[in-house]
Amino acid sequence: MIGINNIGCHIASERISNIEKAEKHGVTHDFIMKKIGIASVARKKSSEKASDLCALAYADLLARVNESTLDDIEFLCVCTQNGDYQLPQTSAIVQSKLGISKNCAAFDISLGCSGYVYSLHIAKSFMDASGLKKGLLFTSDPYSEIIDPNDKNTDLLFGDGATATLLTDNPVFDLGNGAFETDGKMFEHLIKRDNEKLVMNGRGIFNFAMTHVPEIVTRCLNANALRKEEIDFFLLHQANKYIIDNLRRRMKLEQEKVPFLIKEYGNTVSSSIPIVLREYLDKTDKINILICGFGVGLSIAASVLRRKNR
Amino acid sequence: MSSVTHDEIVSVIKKTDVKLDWEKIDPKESLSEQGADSLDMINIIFAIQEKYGIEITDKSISDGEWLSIEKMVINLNKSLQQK
Repeated sequence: MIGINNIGCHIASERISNIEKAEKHGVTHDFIMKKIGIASVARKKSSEKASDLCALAYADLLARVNESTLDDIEFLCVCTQNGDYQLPQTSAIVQSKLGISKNCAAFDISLGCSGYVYSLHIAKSFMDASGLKKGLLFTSDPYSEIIDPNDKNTDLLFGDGATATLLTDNPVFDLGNGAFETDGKMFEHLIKRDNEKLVMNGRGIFNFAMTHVPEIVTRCLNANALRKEEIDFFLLHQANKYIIDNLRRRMKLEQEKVPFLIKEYGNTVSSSIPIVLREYLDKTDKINILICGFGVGLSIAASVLRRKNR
Repeated sequence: MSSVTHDEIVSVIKKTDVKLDWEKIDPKESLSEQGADSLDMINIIFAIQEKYGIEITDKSISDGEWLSIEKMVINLNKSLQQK
């Protein structure tokens, strides 16, 4: 069965300090550090596109595995809503940039912060159904291209990053059963209309997260016949500190089981879960990890990763 | 249905993790002027919505109907009567 073998990450190297922007946005340093929890946001070079960030995440993955491990890739997908072009699919450009064989399925998945969980399920199902043994799942959604720097709701939150997840039939983590939910009536709470910048209704997102994340987490636990106590940690989409703190409190989870690790680079949308997950790949005491992404749509997805005995 | 009181609203807010200096809070004054930031206000209004099963619109918030404890009591009771 296909699962997660390894993860490469790229976080854009330039940092824009949120502290220096506090006055401009009319907020205090305390608000930035204690509430938002993001001291700076990562910014890609203006010339870089989503596919370039994918290539950099791939280079990081390459440094973590034997070179031959990445031979014979038969599947490639990119989760993005800010691809290089409206068409073609960014995955085709990535396939070309990485010199991956033509014997490779390649498509994009259009989802935001729930995208990594969805994409894992889609990739696993596609690969299992087609008998494919090795694939790459990229997340790359450079929000700096769509943010209004004068909008405090978004300018202080989003950073640029990308990830490359190696999927194989010899995984470190198996994927359990997923739980999914969509509330399309709330689509305008996080939207980028044609020729406009990103607009976010922070209250709408907060209400959605507080109401739906605990429900989905419970559904996901039930779908996997697991109790809350059997989860070693809950890797929630790294939206901002305030949402994570309130979700943790609401679900009565211990602080050390709910990481928040984006202080230095910001919310990287569909990359936020795999960037943190990478830190736990080699920590063999972490057996069951629940992942949950939520945002654009509004959409929410949760699943359980189970460490394999290798 | 009996009216929701000032104390009940305060109790709902205290169950959130919003930190306010309750000994100094003036119920007639805006909570934003008394230590609650924009995220705290979102949290407080969510807690009221959830506790009483009402929908609080963005417009009523921008119109200032939920700024102070006193306004919260008045507008919550109005909403509950319309349910």
